[in-house]
Amino acid sequence: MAYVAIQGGQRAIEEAARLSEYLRTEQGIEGRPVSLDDIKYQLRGLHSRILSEGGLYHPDLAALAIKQSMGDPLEASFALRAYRSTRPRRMETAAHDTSRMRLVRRISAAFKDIPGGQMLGATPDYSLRLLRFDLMDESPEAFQEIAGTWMENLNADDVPDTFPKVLDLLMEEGLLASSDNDGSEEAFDITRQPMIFPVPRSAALQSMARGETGSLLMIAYSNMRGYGDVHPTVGEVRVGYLPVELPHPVTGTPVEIGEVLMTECEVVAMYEGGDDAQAQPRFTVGYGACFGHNEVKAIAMAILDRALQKGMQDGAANPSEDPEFVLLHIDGIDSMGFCTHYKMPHYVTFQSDMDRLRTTQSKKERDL
Amino acid sequence: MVPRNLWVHALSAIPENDLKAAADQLKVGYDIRHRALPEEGLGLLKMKDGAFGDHYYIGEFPVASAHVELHDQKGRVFEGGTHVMHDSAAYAADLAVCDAVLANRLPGWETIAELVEAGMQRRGEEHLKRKTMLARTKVNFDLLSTVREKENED
Repeated sequence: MAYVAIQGGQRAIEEAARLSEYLRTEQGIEGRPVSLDDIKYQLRGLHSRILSEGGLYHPDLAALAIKQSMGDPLEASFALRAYRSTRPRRMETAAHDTSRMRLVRRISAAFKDIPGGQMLGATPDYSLRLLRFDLMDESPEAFQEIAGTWMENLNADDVPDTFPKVLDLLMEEGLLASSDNDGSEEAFDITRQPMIFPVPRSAALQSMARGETGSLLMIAYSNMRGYGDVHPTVGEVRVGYLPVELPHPVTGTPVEIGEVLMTECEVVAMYEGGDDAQAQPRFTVGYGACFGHNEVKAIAMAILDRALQKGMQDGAANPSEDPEFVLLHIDGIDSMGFCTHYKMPHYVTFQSDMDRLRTTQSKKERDL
Repeated sequence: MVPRNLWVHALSAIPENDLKAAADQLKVGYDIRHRALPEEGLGLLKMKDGAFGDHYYIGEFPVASAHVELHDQKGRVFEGGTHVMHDSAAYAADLAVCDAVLANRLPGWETIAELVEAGMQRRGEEHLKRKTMLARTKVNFDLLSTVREKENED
């Protein structure tokens, strides 16, 4: 691939940047700059996407990335990813499980009655998805009143601090293989090591956790529609704040240094095994998790995790079971970069293509 | 008294200027030395997956760290340290000073203890808000059963 240096384009490029800034502020005296808090609180869905696809849990900078990119999720994730690449990595945590997550939502499609109960939290699941025209001209007073009213009489006496995992119920019944993993295997880090296939499952989970939501959904959807046979049931979706711990520099004991909002999903899939006389058949499982509140991503990831496990075990029977196909095509920054590079000047390569075509045409004319 | 492993959790809920003002006052009379240079950068969050217990990395987070020694005029040395989810090493250094003062009950520790209590109260309010989200949206399947039973009776 060859590019040509552009002479005389500098002024145009500078003016293009100025024009983008003008469009961001085009409302003029009627407008006001959108604040980072506005983005964090009122564009939660978009903000959550950037946190996970940017690969960095930094709520302020994710909001800044959204602001500067004027809401383009791929550009915003790119900016956050670029920022993280400039920062030194100081440490890594011990492995965290989600048993101590401070939940704000928890549901199961597998069981009606789960220990601790099902809590819908904030969800559009049961809404009609009709446009709310009352928001078109929302007054600040009405806006503030909603929050004020909700905050009256907060009471949660019956709500426990933590909730058991739904999958544990199935394990207790012997319907699911119990995990005998001691966690001694080192986790693969795709930001430091190239993915040379086959890669361990930890590489797949990390790739998918920072993958682009639409890409994960598209490949998972192909499996759901029939190019695969995961047939998932959502065992549990939980959304909440995970306390992050590091050892205290003096005492060495774990200390909570902050928390991250995350979404986690476990899907129960088709059972397998039992071919030999000794082993009982058991349900198979897929797992998904990501920063922020993004249930589509977590569920799609869980389905793909299960599909990839099957592909690794039996060989890929469809695209969603092929680790190389899935893991190399879900990164938003990679794919967006490759796609948009086609806009950049390809004058030399295209000139070459034209020359070859003309030569071929001439040859054909001579032959005729 | 709030246990030491929750001090960062509590103090990081306090406005940064308030914490800095308190830390600046506490530093007076001590020679502050850094056991390790205060650092800022990123931490990598390792997770244990809920299906098989495999470890994997879900992403990174900002982290700042400090480990300080407070030397008083009698030659005594008091240690404090912290990691915090934040971008500023200076902020971590302030937290480390507060940690040393509170852990060793040095003069002014009451101020930090009050900030910790205030921070815990804020965290408690946040916690209550989140739990209320769950309480108010808890699905009551008993009602479904009652309706069905009633329908059967009819």
